[in-house]
Amino acid sequence: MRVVIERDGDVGARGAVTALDLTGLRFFEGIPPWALERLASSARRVRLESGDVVVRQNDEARAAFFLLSGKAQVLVYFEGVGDLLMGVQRDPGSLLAFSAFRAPYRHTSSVRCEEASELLRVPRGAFEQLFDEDAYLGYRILKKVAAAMDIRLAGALAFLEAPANPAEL
Amino acid sequence: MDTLELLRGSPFFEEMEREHLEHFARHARMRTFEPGERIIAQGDPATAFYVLDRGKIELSFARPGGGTLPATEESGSETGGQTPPHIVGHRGHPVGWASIVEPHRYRATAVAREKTVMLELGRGLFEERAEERPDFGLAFMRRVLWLIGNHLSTTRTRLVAARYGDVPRAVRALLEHNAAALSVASPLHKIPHYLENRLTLDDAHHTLEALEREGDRTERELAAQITGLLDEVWREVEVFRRLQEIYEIVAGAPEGMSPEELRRRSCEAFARMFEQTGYVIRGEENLPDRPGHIFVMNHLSNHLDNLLPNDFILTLDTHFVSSMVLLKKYGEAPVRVVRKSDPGEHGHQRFYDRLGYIYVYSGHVDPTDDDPASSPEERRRLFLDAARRHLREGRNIVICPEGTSTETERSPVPFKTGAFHLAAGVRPEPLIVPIAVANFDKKITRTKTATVVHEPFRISDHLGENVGKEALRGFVNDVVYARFRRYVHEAVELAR
Repeated sequence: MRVVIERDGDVGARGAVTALDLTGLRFFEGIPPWALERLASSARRVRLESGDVVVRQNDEARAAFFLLSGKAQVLVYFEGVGDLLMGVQRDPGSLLAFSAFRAPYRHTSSVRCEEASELLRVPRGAFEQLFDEDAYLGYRILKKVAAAMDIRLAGALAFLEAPANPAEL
Repeated sequence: MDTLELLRGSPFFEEMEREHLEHFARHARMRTFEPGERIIAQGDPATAFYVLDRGKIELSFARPGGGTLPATEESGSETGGQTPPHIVGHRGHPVGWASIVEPHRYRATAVAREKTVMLELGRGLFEERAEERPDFGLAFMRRVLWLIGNHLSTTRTRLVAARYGDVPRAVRALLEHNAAALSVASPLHKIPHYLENRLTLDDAHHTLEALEREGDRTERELAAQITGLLDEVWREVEVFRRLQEIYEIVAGAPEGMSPEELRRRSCEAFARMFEQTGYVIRGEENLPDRPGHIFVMNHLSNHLDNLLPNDFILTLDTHFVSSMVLLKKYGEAPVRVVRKSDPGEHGHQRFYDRLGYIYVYSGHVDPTDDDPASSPEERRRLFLDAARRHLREGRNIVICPEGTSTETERSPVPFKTGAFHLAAGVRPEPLIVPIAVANFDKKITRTKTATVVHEPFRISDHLGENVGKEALRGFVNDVVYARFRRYVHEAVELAR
């Protein structure tokens, strides 16, 4: 298993990101241009292969990840059970790993590419700087994170009821 | 002041500055909900956030596309596509966080289980405050992420518990996930061990309650999550307590109390317990208008979880039929035919001796010289005399003609003919009412049981008067037993 981003930071093809790239993603809708410029300057586009691990459960969450294309699995490891597939993320623009926004900033699940995928990586520090400068913007961004977590929770609840069908997140 | 104290004591608000809490306390309102009243409904627009002040609420989540059975008066709590409800009674518990998060649709349904008082905070309150005080908005949303994250963590752990039927393992996993923040000396580490044994489940309950009140922040959060995870375990504890109480109602009753009174009290207590379980009853229209008939049913094994400390197990299927079907229809508990206690089965004997049931003797019961049932012929005569007397006096009799019990999947096993001989020999001839049951051998808190009453018949309608032994045996084996196999299969399907 190849852990691509969080642990072996140099693995995976990378590319620069512009504010225009972010504008096209639903998560960033309504965010002012100056903030988009700031985030884009820190963000990186990452291309991954099938089976590559994006983040690993319990590791420090140093960045948020957004799916640009492809498909990613959400896995949760349980002692004595192993990795349980909790759902599959395939919507372009969706937030893949939200622990960068939530104390104690440790990933609560692992994310692995189910097929070749392209991701956007935005460091946690870039968001935190924005929040320090404009708390109300921070409030609005965290509302978007909450909505993404809500979808993840709905998927987990659906999976709890119909475990034969991992949720489409 | 009460409102402010409520907010300050709520885990959700505890980190927020006092000035914000005072603001919300001034603008929030207390609402009282009567038992059964709906507070929020899954899928409805989420306009308010609630904090539990007093009472208890039942939270449930309808599975997507679920609902194969309509919720009727005959349906227990687990029908209609709903997950088993989660009961919440902790002061300060937040409900309705979906009001804060787009698309602002409630994720669950909350119903007052008893008279309940909730603090209601309109969605606009938070949004307006966040605009006025962005620092509050940011801190508030961090708290919302904390709350949703906890729900997510609990849901995932429940998934493991449900999939593997192993709650201690799921709790260990939850503790493992939080190992970095949890003290090694925390009493939470004892919880998986307490959960391993039914006799220490109460200790788990008390420990978690204490930690939710007095633990450090991590302990309080985890204790609340584990408590939510253990809904089914608490239900099992509750069922076990009720079984203990039912046993004591009968075995510990005052000497002078009549068997009729004890049968009624025991059945009423069973009915209260079964009302809390998932069940379906069908075919009640087949019950005769008046009592005085023989109800034959398949008999299912007992789940070992129901084993009382004196090694006695209260059978659930026969008590369900007695309490939920016959007591409700006729207003009096039936007389059952039960086997005589084996030597040394003191718990069995203390219970059944008080109820005035009709005994049948299994082969290994060795009657003593002073036992009136000193020979097989005498035992048979005593059985028939007692049963006929009850029938003539208008009492219902419940008999399991298999003479043993088995799992739902193997039920029914071939019938003995005693119940049918009894029916053929009594005048006026009683009806035989077939009742098929399913799933009473499973954990009663984790299954749905089914009970189906079928069309009654008289032996004479099929075999005429003065029926011979061979003809009766053939009828029971070839007709009644064959029908019952189909009946039980249908009950199993109904319970799915």
